[in-house]
Amino acid sequence: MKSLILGYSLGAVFVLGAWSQVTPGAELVPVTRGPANDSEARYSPDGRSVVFQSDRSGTLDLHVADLETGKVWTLHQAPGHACFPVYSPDGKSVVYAYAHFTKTAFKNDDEGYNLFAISADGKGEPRQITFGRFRDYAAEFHPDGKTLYFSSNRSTGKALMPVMLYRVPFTGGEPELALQKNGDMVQPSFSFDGKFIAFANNSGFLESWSIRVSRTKTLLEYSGDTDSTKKNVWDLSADFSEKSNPSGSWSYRYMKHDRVTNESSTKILPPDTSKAELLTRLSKQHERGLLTAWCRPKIDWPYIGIAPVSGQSGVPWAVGEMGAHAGDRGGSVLAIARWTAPHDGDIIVTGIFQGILNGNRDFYLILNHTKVLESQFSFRHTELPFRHRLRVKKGDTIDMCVGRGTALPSSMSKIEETIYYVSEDYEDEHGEYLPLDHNSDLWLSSDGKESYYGPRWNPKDHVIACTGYRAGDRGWNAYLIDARSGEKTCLTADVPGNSRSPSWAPDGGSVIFENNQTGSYRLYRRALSDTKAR
Amino acid sequence: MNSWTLLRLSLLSILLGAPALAAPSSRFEVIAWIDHFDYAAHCDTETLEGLEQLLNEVQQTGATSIWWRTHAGGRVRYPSAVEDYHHSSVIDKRITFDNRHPYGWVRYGETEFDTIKAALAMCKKRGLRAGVHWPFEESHFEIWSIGGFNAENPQYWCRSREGLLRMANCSLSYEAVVQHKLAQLDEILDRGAEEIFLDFMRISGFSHSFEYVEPMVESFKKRHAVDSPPGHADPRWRKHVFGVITEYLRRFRKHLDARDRKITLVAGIPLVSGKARDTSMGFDWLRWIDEGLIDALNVITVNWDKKNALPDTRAQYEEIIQLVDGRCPVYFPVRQYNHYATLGLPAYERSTGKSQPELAGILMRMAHEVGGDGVALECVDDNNYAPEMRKILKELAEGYCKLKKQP
Repeated sequence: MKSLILGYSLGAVFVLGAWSQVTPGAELVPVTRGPANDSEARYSPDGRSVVFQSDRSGTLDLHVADLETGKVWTLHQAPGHACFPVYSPDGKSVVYAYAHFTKTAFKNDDEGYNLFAISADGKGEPRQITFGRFRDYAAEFHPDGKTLYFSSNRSTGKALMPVMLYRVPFTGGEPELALQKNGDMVQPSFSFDGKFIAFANNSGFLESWSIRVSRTKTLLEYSGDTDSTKKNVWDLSADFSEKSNPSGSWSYRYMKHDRVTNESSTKILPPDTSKAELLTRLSKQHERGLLTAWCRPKIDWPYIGIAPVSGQSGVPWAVGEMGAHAGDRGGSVLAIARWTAPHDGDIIVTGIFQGILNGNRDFYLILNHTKVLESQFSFRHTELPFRHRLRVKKGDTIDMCVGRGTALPSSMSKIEETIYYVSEDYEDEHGEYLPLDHNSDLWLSSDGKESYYGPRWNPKDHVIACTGYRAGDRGWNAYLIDARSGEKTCLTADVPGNSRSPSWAPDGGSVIFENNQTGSYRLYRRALSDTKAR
Repeated sequence: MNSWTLLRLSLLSILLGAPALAAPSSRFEVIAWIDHFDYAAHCDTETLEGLEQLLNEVQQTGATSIWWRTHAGGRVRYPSAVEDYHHSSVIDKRITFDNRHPYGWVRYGETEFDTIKAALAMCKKRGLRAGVHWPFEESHFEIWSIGGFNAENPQYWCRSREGLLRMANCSLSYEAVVQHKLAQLDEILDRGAEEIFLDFMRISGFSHSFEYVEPMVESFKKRHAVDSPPGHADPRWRKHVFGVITEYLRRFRKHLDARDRKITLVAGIPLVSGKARDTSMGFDWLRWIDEGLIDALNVITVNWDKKNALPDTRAQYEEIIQLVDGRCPVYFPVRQYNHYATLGLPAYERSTGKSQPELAGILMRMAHEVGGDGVALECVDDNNYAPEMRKILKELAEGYCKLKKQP
């Protein structure tokens, strides 16, 4: 499925362009020298220098290397660790993560890793952008130059939180959750046109890192018009209520869903959800998924619930993720998340059905009595994303339904759904990027047999540089992944030691990365071959 | 046979009998596992005062020996030269972080003193035998517990026959991985450990089904003259993989023996199958005893019959004692934990109706009566082994169970 999405969507939708290919054995140009570990280099927008972190003073500090003179100077030095620097698009500032712990954890009155900005010439005092005892790191500017996206475990302060993507204005403000997927999400990187965001994704310690790509539109378009109620976005998980059902525009329901069975096959009849009943009992620690879920008065099936804590069960729920299960025994039923339109208008309905464990299930998206989407599948990690523009009148219902499928055993599903109104003249870009009625993510690595992290999008093309490992490699290498085809090119197969954290020159014609062939990590540049039309 | 020969034989027989004669004076050990990370919210474990406090509390059990946890998952709890990402404040993008306060924020690698060195010295000063608890596989349950070696060396990661990677596990079939483990052993020994307890229950997903790495596969092909390795269910593959673990223990033993002081090695085995002879988990402890690779056996669990809890436990203890046959000390569990195989005191309570403190006393007496050499209290924390239970254990340790029972 993933490879299908990869080939079908990006191959068809990205603007065909030109990109640079590596020339095997291209000259490796040392940028830094010495016994210290220099890493996480980023180019200045004019391409004349790179900023990087180094432990040459004992802790991590920030340094700048002038690529023309070879001179290295200290941008920021202080007790504690300063790391993951990145230039602002105008080149005037460097944003980085910084922490200096002076107290023990038991005393608990230090702050954590927070984002800071410092003038690129090193003058003046650093300005703190985020606050609080979290780990905010690996920041990246949105192409608008005004917003920072970063990785953090700051969500709701609960234990064992996965790392998710947050955003905060460069000028400061309260960070907000920008994107949450299954598992950890580290180091965002935007495509040159701002339409896509890549990040490393990991859903468990036994599994490997993957590069995953989402549409930025799902991040940004929520901030559109608000109506008189000041609410324009209904998010199934963010709005989940443990107190009442129904709650606002949402209600959690179920209904019998008969099948027609003959000797040779089982066929599911189209559901009529008009008679769906409310799930009236709230069950905590539901099943092994540890969901807080609405279910029937005396029976645990079907249910719709939310994961309050992650990492403590065999099911990889992230905090705030929602699951639905029609049940694995008894009669045929549907678990239904219903949204009732508060007023007339055009809406976008976007979301995803996702398999969590192997098992059978069927899905429906129903506007009043009209099916908008129907599907079923059986496999873990299979995803069925959707995005529809619909016109509704006040009181219309959108039912997101999860059934048992046609074969046992059935299994639970992860569900996400977001609904928001758009104006009539809203230019629906549906179909521009992705050819199907979905907003699927792309995985640019294959099924746990390889590992890739630290994506950096080429500034002129749909090629992602990252750190990667695949069978036969001697360690970590710098890789290029063509986001259109999934083709991977190892940039450093001929270089001994680990090569990590490749980052693009502004012209997209070379990368800088760190390598430890000398025993410590130093920075090197490698030019790519002449641009080739593809 | 002349009189001189007879005299020599007599002396020899006396010498050979000496251990048996000395046996009555052997101390019956009460071994407390200490995971100071678990105390992080209870006392300040990043200070010497905090460590003293928790040790005071642990000694309420009558503990005579300590196995102090050296690793938090893959992260060692001292400033290591070979394992970069000990509990520290450095962020690595390949490893995400425990967010719990204070657990996710302790920095045992950056304290003003060396935690493990200080803890072991503290134990010795109190007359406690100072050992360390080292899980067989470094990583624990979460990605935040993966150590720097694993993060930096994907070429040693375990993989399935189909090629699925496991960053949590590096294969011991690679010499570099063994060398890394032995380098850590050196660091721990340099900090004064008198005893190494290798915990083969905490294996972090180790499995023969994820050992399809090049050196393991190549050695199998060579040994069995086949072109490709079999599926993981093939007994030959299991035996081959677990043979590598035994070989690792041989290296480990040799490393210990090269030291200028006696260091004992204890293997902790979960007998999950319920059969004392069973080594289906692959940790071939009987063979390890036969070869002299380990100095003592710690039985972490036995799979007792819930309908016949205490008699069945005793029967299994006796079977283990018979199997070991005096070749090395055997420690039995008084286990407050009830997860993993759910065989701890709470499970005994459900099966017998007796209280947990009473059961703790019964199990300690049982270990003593069957001829065991001590009991091991798995992770004495601030919130387990309740005061009443500690009192019972201490009274037994200082009274009825003070010395090992004579055969």
